[in-house]
Amino acid sequence: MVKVTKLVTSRPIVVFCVLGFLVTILGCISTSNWLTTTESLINDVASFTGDLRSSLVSEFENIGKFSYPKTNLSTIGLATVIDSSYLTNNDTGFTNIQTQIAPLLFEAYSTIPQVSQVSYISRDGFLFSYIRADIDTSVAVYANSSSSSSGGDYTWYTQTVDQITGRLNGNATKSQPLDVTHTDWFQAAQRNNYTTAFLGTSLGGGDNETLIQSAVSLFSKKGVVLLGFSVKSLTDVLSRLSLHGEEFYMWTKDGTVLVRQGSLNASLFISNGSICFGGRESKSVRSQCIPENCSSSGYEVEIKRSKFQAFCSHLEVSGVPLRYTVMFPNDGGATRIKHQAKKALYQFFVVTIFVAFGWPVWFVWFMVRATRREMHMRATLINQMEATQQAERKSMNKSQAFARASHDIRGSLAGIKGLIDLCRDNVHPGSDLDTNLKQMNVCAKDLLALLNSVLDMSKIESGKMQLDEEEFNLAKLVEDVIDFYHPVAMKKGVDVVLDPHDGSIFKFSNVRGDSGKLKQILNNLVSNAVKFTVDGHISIRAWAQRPGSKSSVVLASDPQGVVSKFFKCMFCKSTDQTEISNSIRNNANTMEFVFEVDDTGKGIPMEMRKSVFENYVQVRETAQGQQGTGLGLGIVQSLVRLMGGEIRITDKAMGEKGTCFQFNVLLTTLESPVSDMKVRQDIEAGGDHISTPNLGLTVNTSLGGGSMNIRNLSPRFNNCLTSSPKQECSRVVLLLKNEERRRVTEKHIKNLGIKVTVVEKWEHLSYALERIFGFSPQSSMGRAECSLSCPSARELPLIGMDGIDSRSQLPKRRSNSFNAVVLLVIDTKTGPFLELYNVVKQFRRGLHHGITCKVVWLNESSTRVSERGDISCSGPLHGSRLTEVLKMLPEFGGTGLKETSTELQRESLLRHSFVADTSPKHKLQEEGPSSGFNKELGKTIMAPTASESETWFKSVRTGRNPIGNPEEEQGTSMPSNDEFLRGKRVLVVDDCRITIKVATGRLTKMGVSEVKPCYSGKEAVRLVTEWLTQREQQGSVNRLPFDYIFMDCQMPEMDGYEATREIRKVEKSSGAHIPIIAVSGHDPGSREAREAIQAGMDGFLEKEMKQDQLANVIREVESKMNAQATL
Amino acid sequence: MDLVQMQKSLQDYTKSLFLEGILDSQFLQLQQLQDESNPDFVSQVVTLFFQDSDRILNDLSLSLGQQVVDFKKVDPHVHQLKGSSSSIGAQRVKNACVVFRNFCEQQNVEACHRCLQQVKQEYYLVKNRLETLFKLEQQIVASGGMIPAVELGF
Repeated sequence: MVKVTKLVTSRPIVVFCVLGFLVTILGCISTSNWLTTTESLINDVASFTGDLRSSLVSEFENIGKFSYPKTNLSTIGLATVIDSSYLTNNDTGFTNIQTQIAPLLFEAYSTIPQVSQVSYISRDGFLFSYIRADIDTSVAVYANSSSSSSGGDYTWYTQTVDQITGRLNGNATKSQPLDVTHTDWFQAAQRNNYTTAFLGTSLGGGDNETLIQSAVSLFSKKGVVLLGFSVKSLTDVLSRLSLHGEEFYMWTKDGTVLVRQGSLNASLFISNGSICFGGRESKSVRSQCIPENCSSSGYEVEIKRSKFQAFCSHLEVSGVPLRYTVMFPNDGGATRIKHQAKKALYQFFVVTIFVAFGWPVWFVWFMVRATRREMHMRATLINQMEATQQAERKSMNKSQAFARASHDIRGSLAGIKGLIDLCRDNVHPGSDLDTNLKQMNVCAKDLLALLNSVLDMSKIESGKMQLDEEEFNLAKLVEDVIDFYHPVAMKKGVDVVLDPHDGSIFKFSNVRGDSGKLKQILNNLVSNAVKFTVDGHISIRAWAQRPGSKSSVVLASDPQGVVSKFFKCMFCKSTDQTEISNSIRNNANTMEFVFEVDDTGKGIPMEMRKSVFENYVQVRETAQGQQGTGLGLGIVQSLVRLMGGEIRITDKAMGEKGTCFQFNVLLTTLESPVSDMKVRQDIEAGGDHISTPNLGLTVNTSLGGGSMNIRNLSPRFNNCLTSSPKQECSRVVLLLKNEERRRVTEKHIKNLGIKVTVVEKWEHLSYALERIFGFSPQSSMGRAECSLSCPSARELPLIGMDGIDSRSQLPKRRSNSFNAVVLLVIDTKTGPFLELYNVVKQFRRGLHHGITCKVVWLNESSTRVSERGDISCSGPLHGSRLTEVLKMLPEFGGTGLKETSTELQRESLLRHSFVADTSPKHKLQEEGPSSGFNKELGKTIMAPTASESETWFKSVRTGRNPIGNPEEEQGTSMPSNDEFLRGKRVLVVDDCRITIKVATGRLTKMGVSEVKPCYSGKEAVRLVTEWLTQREQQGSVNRLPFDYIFMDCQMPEMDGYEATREIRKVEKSSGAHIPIIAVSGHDPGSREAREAIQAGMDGFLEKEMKQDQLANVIREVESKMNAQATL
Repeated sequence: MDLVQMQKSLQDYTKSLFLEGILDSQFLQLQQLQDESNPDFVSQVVTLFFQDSDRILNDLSLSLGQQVVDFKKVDPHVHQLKGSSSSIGAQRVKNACVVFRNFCEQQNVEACHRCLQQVKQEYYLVKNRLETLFKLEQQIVASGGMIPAVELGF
């Protein structure tokens, strides 16, 4: 269709001609066809007409020939009869005639058909004649005197005749006589006894009508017999013939027109025996004469403007020669058809031509119009598409510009924050200015957070979000998040509980992944939970599992779609991300971590569950009075998917309030899950100490809290702890306000293998204590010991008893090393402090000497507690704090044995609680580049940035718990940044002199003794190579030529990556490794940074070379080097 | 002129440079690096910057002025200029360079010309301002005064 249109439009005239030609040809064919048909039709009609004419003519002839053929004979017969009677008597007188001939005449008169006059005329002029005057009357005309004899007295009489008898009756009347004997016909008949026929008037009668008369002379020549027939009867017959518009004329030779029939009203005359039309004298009308001989083919005449075809012939009637002509009008019959056919042909031609030209014109016009319309539409479409593309481009540019702008804003904000920090250093702490600055800092942080969420959104939208992988402590992270929200939640009366589930989170807590984004996810979910929960609790469950099997089961809870959804979400991301997550999946060290944030808030209606993950959607009913952009969960979902997981809202059991968000992420663990062997080795090697440097305690000092972590011990190990039936077991008594926390804490401690007693109400505390230890304030001491040494005697369910088989592995030598401890954990919110304290005091007093009782007060001011010699803990009791508390138990290396050490113990915990109080804010602030370094140093205890107090705390801890080793203790005297690089020698490679100059300045400031500038990659390689060969020659020197090389990435000729590769190649032979730090204008997380690491560089630094960043990178590199060296 | 007044005006002038965004914190850091052991550090660096930049801009003009622009030559120059400007904290030059590089990647000759003009403009601006700044400092030193420390808290 399109092609046709195009063709038509491109050559409209050609197409028009072709179409016109086609139509014309078609028209011609049909016309010729039609013409032939018409022709044959005309021929047929013509032949019919011819037949008709000839039949008509023959009809005339027949009438002439057969109507009056016998008149002659009758006349002759009559003459013979009269002759014979004449012969017999010779009398020729009138009497004789009257008596003898008259009856004969009458006889003939009455017998001969159609005869209208029978006469006998004698030579003398006697006459007797019967004439039919009317149809029923006949007259006789007679002359009784001779015309010759009586000279002038020749009279004719007319007398009526009796029709039957023929006798004369009535009166005879005289009538005008005719000189009959001298007429031509009488003479002609007399002369040769011959018959003759003529046309003449009748002899008598009424009206002297014209008769065809036949005269026969008697043989004796005495007279003539005359029979007359009426012409009228002939003409009547002829007239009766049906003529279809033809003209019929009949006339005698002498010019008497006998018959004139037809509609034509023209004047006519007979000249010379032929008929002529038109006025004889008039000059205006030319007379038309039809020639005599025109019988065979018609003769065309035009009379009064109408054409006629004339046929003429002779006709002899009773011996009288007559002529007639038949004229057929030319416009009838075939001619008319011919005419009409011609007319129709013309019409047909006109129509054909009209169609032949009109239709193509219309067609072409229509096509052209259609094409024009289509072109118009296409043009519009193209315009629209361009507009769309432009809009898309604009939008893209806008988002890019937006991202860039946000980036810049973030930079500025970072600057502001830095400046605020700088200002705060110079401000007297506690002053108004300091407070204001603090608030400014908070505002800037909020602004930054807001900006980050917007930036995240735009990053996710543009698909540029990438994971920033680093090593971090997962358990710590989760705890941090909870601790951060705990105070806020507690204000509303909502407890935030960390539920370690099976403790696997502690087992695999050192992981590699994007801690920032994970934290963002958790922060978002927990803050939402806190926001929407009015009472009850929020519990955060976390556990690790093997990826794959179980996870998909967990995810597949809504039956059909989840697997596909999972795949979909895998594939809807860009391919490299899919590859990443696949590779994560395939990695043996990959663990799947499942988190659940479970609150008892309002909950999300079923129908809203899907849409809450969409951007800018908030649940209306619950959003009242709450703020936010509605971006949170959308970002969370994107982030979770980015980490190869899925987030959803799980169904809670009937009757339970609130919402439970569950999500899983894939992270790489740094320790292999099958480390039991190692654990055991460690235990054996560790001698007296259960907790080994590698496994037992991890102090992560980077986060400023100095919080400690007991990683969950392997189950077997746990059993070991509770294994010895003879050993006095420690016991924990929990009096906690929140039910969920009670449950979780109890379960956790049970899992660790410690016996737990949970008391729900403070009033029950003393009773419970009594039941457990056989102690009542009033009772004796003796029973307590008994009950403690044989715990199973009591009806209380005891934990860990089912693991007897595995207990044999416990090193027996430990059994005497410590005494049992009773640990009371009491939440002061459960009841009045003093009452509680009294109960505890009573209990203490009644205890057996060998049993130590320790009390941890929750939510109580430290001063009030400490003056009573107990420990306070104000943070939420979970995670590291719980571990810390539990560490007081001898099973975990707690120092319960000597009273002297309790003071220290107490102080350390006090310290801890203080730090825990303030830690959340610090944690967020200090979540900086330093964390990477610190995590790297995970197994060492010391923090380079450790504050004085922490150092103090550390020394206390290490004093009692010989956890650290001597090398690590050196870390306490970490130099400050200013002196950080004292005495080091550095090579700075950059093609830009200014950068080198600045770097030199900075490094010198940091104490570097020698900065060697180098302006190209090649030169750097050359320098290193030179030195290495020198060293080889000298052999002994083991000192590196430069302690560090700062390498610009982008340089002409040989760029940083290539130079690094070259240097690494050169080094290989000598076994040296000079740390090379990449310096680039790009972000640390960018592609260039990864490329740099791939090229063999050890660290990555931004071009500005900020002092603290520089220091951090150096530390990181150092630690890596050390790690490699120790390996 | 009164010494105190001069010091005040120097301070104001320096502040204005930051407020206008001509310089950024990097310049402050440079100034912090300057001490008794290295008294002319900032001016040394800046002089280096001027020398390099003059050369680079010259090269850039030549490269872009050619019939067929070889962007492989242009890009490293811009990169270098960006690096050095960011080293001394000439923020606006750096930003202009970033834009310039984008257009280099797109190989947009016309836009590159515009960018070059922009970069030049920014460069001459910062050059002018810094020279004035040094003059002021020299005046103060010449009249026996101390160069006031730059305040951070603006």
